[in-house]
Amino acid sequence: MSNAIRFLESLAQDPAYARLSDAQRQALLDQLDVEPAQRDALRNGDADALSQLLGGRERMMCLIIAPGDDPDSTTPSPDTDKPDEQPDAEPIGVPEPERAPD
Amino acid sequence: MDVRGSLVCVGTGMMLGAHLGPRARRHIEQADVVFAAVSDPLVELWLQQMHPDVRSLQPLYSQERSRRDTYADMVETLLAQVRAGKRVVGAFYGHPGVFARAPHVAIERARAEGYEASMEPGISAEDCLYADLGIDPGTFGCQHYEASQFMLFQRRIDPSAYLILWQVGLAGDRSLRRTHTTPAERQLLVDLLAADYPLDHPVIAYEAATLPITQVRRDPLKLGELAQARLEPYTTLVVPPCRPLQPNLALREKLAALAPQETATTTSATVPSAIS
Repeated sequence: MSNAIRFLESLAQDPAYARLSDAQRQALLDQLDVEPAQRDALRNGDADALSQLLGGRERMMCLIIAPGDDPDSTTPSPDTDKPDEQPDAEPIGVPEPERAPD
Repeated sequence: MDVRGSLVCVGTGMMLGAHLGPRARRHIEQADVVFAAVSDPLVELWLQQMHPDVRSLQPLYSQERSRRDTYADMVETLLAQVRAGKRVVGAFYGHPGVFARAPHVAIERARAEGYEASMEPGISAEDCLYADLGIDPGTFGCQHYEASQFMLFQRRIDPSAYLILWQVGLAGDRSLRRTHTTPAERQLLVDLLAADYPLDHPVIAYEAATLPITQVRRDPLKLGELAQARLEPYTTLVVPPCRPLQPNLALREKLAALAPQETATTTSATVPSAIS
């Protein structure tokens, strides 16, 4: 595991890190065996820069649900004989309750 | 040797390192292959260092195709490896079953095909929201909707409960290809809400922290400012109640009639006084 990622993991797992003073945090970062640019990114809280330095993906999508529902989870409305066959069209009828993002 | 494939969808939680449960971590470490759908590139790198074969589901997204197709491909990608006899883990950010359709579908289909499949919960954005904003959903009640679904379907709003709208940066999107909608589209959401809330009603734009070096976003806004606010795909809108709880006097009388010995009491109900 990269030392910078391990450092983030440690920060997240120990609430004591959140209570460190700037000087204490600086001392901790100074001891970290990472490239200077990674240390700067950690010091500045610059997640984009750190990700770029570590080879992280440039663009991330965080959407894992569609509005409405799946075409096959709807009940046809009374005035139609068949469910909507257009995959991106507005769903018809009563949607199955969506699982409550992320 | 058991060569039957299996599927477990686990939640990584919202913050790198802070929220991954021990069972979920063991599932990841013991899998043959791990597929990752997370919201932060550093979280993806973290997962990749937990297992030698972590494959990102990010390449399935494209502005050229509907996200519905992307989600269908996620399901097929997971199931293809299950059918190949692999122990498959789908690692989804937050909770894998909360506002995440693909894990539910993948598990249902794997089971229907005779494979062992289960879900391991994680700490969701909703969980973080309650902690970060100091909201207890039990106090006034809490309604949750995906913002576009809320706009596209008839809903009965209860203004005496919290209203939480997810993916509000995409409010009104029907293409499933965009990552943001326009102020004009969001204004339609404001107009819809204005039937139940005053335009100066305080609301909150919320974003959970995904790294220990980043901050929670909890920007107070007026409802009428929402269309022009900076809203990301991962922004959540929190609308506090604008009315006190309304006693259901008729039902109280019926309950009293069933238990004549009891004295009916009316608890005072208030609306939250402060928006953090």
